[in-house]
Amino acid sequence: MHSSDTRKKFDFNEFFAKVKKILLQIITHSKTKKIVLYTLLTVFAALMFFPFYWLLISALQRSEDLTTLPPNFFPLRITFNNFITVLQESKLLRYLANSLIVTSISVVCTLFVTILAAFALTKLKVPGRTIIIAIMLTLIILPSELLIVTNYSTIIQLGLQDNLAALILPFVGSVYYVLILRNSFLVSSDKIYAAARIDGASNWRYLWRVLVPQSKPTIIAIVLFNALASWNSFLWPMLVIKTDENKTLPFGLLTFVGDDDRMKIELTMAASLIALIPMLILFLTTRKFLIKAISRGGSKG
Amino acid sequence: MKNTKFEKFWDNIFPKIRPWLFLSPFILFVLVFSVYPVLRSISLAFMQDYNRLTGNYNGIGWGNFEGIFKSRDFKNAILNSSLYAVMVVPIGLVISLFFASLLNKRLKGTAIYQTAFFLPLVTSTVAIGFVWRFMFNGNYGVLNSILSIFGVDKIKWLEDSRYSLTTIVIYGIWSSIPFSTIVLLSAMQSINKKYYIIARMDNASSFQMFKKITLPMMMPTIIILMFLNLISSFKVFDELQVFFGGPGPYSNLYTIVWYIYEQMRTGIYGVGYAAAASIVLFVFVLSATLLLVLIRKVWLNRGKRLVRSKRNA
Repeated sequence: MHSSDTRKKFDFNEFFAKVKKILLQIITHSKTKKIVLYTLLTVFAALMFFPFYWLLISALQRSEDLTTLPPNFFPLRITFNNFITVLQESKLLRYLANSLIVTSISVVCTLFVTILAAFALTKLKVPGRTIIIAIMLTLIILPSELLIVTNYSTIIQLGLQDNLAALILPFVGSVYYVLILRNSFLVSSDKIYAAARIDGASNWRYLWRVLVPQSKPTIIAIVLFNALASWNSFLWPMLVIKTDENKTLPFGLLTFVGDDDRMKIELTMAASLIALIPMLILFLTTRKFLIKAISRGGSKG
Repeated sequence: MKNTKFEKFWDNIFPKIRPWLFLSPFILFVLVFSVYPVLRSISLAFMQDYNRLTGNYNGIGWGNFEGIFKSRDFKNAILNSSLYAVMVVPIGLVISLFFASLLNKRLKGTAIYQTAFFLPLVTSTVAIGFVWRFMFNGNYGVLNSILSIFGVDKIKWLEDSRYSLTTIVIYGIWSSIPFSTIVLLSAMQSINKKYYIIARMDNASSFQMFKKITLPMMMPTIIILMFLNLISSFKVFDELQVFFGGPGPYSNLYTIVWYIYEQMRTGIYGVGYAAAASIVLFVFVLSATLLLVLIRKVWLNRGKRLVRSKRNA
């Protein structure tokens, strides 16, 4: 009875007029406009970030607290036991080590091979250079899935099945990185090259002492992209790796899911969080570089 | 700079073959792992009933292509990829455009927001996919409990075949946003500020400025992103494995890449089908790329024509 009385007194027209007035003020007033922008940004950033938050709090809770309804948005009981259990009872450390080995060797080998090639294609006289570059430009359109069908049997023939080398070798000769490096090397003046050669510097010395330091931003970008691609690679390891000992992280994480759907959520979350940490560190330390590299690549197409 | 004896020898004796020494590791790897596979995949696609173990095959022809286009799973794959692309590409781009224009306001502290926005870029689908799988859980997932506030009944995101495509689409939009936003943001920042100053003098509203300046100037970038996202929608694989442990709850969510993967793993005759399917994928990517080049050309010409007509008038 009492509540219905208050509802009758509420004047909708007046309410809407007020809302309209406030909205108009918000749009015209620059300070409130700023507040609205910040609120929008915060809300959307929170939406994008939510899965990471959920990962963190799920990894920090006991399993019985994860299946409550409604779920705990702000966990009260926090435990670090999940991390200890995961590290002790699973092969997570092994997967982590494999991933680190594969990623670092892949980055070093790829950089070495592509830098040498890009140097030869910019500063040295290679007969048939235009043909080589034309072939390379055709190769970058090819989807990597076209290659895996045959690369799979090549790896078997080389006897590299279930070997970490199989995760590195097919990606060392990256046409894409050579083309990017070549673009960056072309910017470096040929006069410096001529001067260095006249001063008696060998090509080798010029390349590593002058050209490579000059192209540092490009090289860092390539290291980042290569590390990301190698770390997150999933389909290819699933094809060529057979035993548990040689799995890399993404593939290894799958072992946390049993045959049926009864996966241990808190352990899976803890393992996923550990798997994310190296790339998170890489991202946070090189954020500006990464964003710049992507925007440069994207706008050039 | 002093040269060692070895370096001098190197410089004098090998001027002719020197470039090839620099190039040879790269050429070796490209030949073995890129050029040969392309040729081999093309020839495998036309070898009928190729036996992986013996290497025998039953003549050259279109048999593999006929086979995959008759297969229910492959048709399903093309349908799914198209549906996925139709939903993820436009929705993802509109949201990214909105995000980019918010970030473009150059407010203080955007670095923190950028970090939150761009984090999905570096995370492996498998690791973050497990969180999504938990959030999508039909019984105690956070998504259903949020939806229940609005009176929506429990949805079996992962088990019900009617919702599984939506599940993948939601994840696809979330994961495509960071890349598109970064690219759009940089395109926005490279627009000459003069246009906006002049527009403001003419009392243009910010919506008018967005429609008449920002959007047309960014169209080339938007077109590129559309095609990049389109191509990646044919390649959905990781999230299927993580969410469903297979191509959807009732094998209803095949994608072309999943089909290729499955053909390679099953049976001794699958290789031919896998090769044929990868050729089809290549044809899709190639035609998308050609279309992109064409559209870009038309768009740029249109701009030139507009300028010319304005000048003449």
